[in-house]
Amino acid sequence: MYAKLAIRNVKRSMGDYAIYVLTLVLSITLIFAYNSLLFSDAINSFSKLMRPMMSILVCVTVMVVLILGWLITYITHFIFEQRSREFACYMTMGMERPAMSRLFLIEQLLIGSAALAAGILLGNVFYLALSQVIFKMFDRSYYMDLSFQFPAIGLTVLCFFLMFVFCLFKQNRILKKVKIKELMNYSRQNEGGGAKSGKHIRLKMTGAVALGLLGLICLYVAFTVRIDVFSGFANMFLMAAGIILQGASLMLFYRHLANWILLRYKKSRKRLHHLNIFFYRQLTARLNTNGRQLGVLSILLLFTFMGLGGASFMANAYEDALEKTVPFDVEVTQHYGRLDAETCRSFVGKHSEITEDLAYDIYQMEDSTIIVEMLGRKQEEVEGFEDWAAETNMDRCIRLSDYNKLRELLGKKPISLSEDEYAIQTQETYYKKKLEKAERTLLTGGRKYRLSEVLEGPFAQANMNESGFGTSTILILPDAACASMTHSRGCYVAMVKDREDTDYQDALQKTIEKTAGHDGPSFIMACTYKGQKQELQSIYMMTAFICCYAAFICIFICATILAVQLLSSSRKYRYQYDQLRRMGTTDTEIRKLTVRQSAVYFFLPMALPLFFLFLYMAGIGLAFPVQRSMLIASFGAAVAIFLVVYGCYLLVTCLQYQKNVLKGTKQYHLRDFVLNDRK
Amino acid sequence: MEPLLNITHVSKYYGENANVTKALDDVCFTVEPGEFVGIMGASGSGKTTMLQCISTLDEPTGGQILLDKKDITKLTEREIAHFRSKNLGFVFQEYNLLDTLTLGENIELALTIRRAPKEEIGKKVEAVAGKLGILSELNKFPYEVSGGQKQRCACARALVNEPRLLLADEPTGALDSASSAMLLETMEELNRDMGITILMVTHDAFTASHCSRILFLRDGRIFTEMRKGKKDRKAFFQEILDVMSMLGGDVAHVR
Repeated sequence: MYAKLAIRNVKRSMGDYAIYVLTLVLSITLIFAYNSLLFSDAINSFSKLMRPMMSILVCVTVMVVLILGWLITYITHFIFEQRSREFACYMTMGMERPAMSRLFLIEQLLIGSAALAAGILLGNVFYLALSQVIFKMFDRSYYMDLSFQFPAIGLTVLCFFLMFVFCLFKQNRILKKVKIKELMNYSRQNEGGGAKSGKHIRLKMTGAVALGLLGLICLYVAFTVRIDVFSGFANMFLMAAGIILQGASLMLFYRHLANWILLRYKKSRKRLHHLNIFFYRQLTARLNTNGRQLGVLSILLLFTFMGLGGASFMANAYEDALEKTVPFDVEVTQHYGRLDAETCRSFVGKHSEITEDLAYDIYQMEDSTIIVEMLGRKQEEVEGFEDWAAETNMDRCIRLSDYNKLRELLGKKPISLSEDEYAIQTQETYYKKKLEKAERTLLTGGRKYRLSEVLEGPFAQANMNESGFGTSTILILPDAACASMTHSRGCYVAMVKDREDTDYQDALQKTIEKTAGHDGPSFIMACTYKGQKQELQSIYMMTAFICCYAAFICIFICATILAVQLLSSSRKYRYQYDQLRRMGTTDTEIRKLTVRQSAVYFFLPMALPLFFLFLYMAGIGLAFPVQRSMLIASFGAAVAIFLVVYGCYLLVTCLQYQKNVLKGTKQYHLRDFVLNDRK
Repeated sequence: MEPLLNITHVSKYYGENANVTKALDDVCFTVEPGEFVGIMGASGSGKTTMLQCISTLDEPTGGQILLDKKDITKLTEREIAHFRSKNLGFVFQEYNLLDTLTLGENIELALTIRRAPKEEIGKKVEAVAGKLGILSELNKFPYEVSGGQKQRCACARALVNEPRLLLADEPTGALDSASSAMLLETMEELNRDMGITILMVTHDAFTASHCSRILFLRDGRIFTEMRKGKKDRKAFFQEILDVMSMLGGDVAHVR
């Protein structure tokens, strides 16, 4: 009998909480697909960096389970609240507490299990699509890898139970203690957490925003300035303080937002415009009740923006990073000591067909630091490593003849320099502009050289053809000028017939390391096109996938909570809309009002996170100007993707809202919009 | 004098085929301008359905409802909304105040929906609140005031637009006797001094005794009609009780 009742109740709840069920299904789809990645032997074998990436994925999954657990707890309690009178009714009819508790648990488990089954099925399809993309990314021919199936299903079910069991255990405890009288009024209780006092609102709101800005400053300082206190942990403390301040700012802001809007509304001249009185009072009442939840949602939304932005940035930066890291098919460099170019040549010759190659040296000046000066990237002295900073800041250069040969390898025209001229090669457009603007005369070995030109483009300028640390820039001097300079590092580059076959980066590194003498320090770095491609793919693309995963789950959760809050209040306060109609408001006006109410309610929790995101962008742009344009484009794309997904939830919520408050009048469905578009 | 409201052969049926319930069955009556008419009847007699049809909240199955010679059953959705805000005021048993708005805002809303000029709104609200004795309560929320004050606020909201017809559905149903008496006296004053036409549904004889005319409904039809005439309220109250007991006896007899 109870099972029958439970099934009937579930059918009814499905209609009411369709958005919640949809979110559960979508979330489990994502969890299952990503769990499958964890257990896919084929994908894990693509690169040695895949394992560490998978460890990050496990951490993200744990975070996702925690956040989803919160969603489930919130919504289950919400459903319980909405149905509290029904439960009171069961109790008055003599249903025993354990039976009622069991009934509710069975209902929730039925909804959850249905979502789990649907999620695993859809997750399978999604995984197949995702794995195809990953196979293609790593240039592997696709084959159906079913090794993931059982462990992935096991892990997903475990995640599901962790999410549900805690929540149902909590709900069960409430059900066991609650009295009939309390149940009768359960749905009328406010959620708490709203600001009680309306005093000093402006001060509180300004304080909340100021806290956020202070947090931003802490983060900026933590990332850009090295502070040598607390045994080097000062930056980490600052970072933690920045994050906590940002969170506190968002929570405080949304806690007092209702009172602030009310204050503005009371003074506003537009207060008496048509339905504004109703709109603002409804909005502030809702914000006051749900202030704490909105604070949490805004934190999640900030994470979402960061996650999506990060994913978009990683996806955009991958091609760029690959082009910049390995413009030559094989690159070997040895800092300190002479590089054994012959060993390099014979090793590469054995594994690939060399079309052209070159062994050359990078020289260090002892009396010039113009690159770090022009770029403003001078390394500060660190206690105990004073020599390292001084040496790193010294300019390094390459002979013109070597440089021209390297250009030929890249298919570019050679350059020429007169005896008193020098040129600069840089990888970044931003640096090129800076260097051209500075146009410094080089003074070295008692001679003056004037700047001939600044050349820009990918040129293996990370650690290899680079002066200093992180400058991605090097000087080019006439051969005669370099004759008296100190040798800094030895380099070898080769172009081969098929660069996709250069999957021997580690073996090459080990071979060269064996040739290095044991007298004194040496640092050897070998890169092959294929080796770097796999490493960068593992880092960039997998990070992008993982960021997307977390971000989408956050969007689903935020939009669902907002939708459920709006829809349940639309049912609860339907009489208010009936009253508006009795007072002469047309259905069209009520429709417009509901659109405005839903849109504003969806927009508010993302307003401050969006403002912070804008400041983040400004800060990152200031601290890391090289990546500025790509960052702006990436985060712009992230916000666009976010708005599309969020907008879909908003549209569905809006239509359901109208359906709830305008029962018995003409209803609009999604199909109406589709049909209109077709016409 | 031309009647303000003219109801001719109005019927309202619920259900289909063999399962039809006649909530209103060929009802005809008129209401003159400035009248205070009560509709009485037992539960299920069709009083509220009658009121809902007149107030355009429900559509009659047949017949005509003319307000100022205009057939309100033929209005479009937009015209109905305009018609309601211009001609009708409502007072309900459950007050139906919007609980997120203060009493003052509840009254203001009725004016802003009609897009009344902003500078007039404050004055009008104060005037009507003063008349109904809730001037000092305007900044309070509905949960902060008594039931009587809530109902007077609902009245003020209904009257602030100066409607042609005030429709009241059991306005004293949720009030204690003192509050009921105060509200009814106020309604009588509004009818007498301002000439507002009132149509009130009630099943309470005391409440009905404030009306100038009473229509008794039974099984969806008008059973009888009573006029107060020159009688005082107590005598009229007694007459109503007599009719009610007769109605009750009749029902008992049928049973």
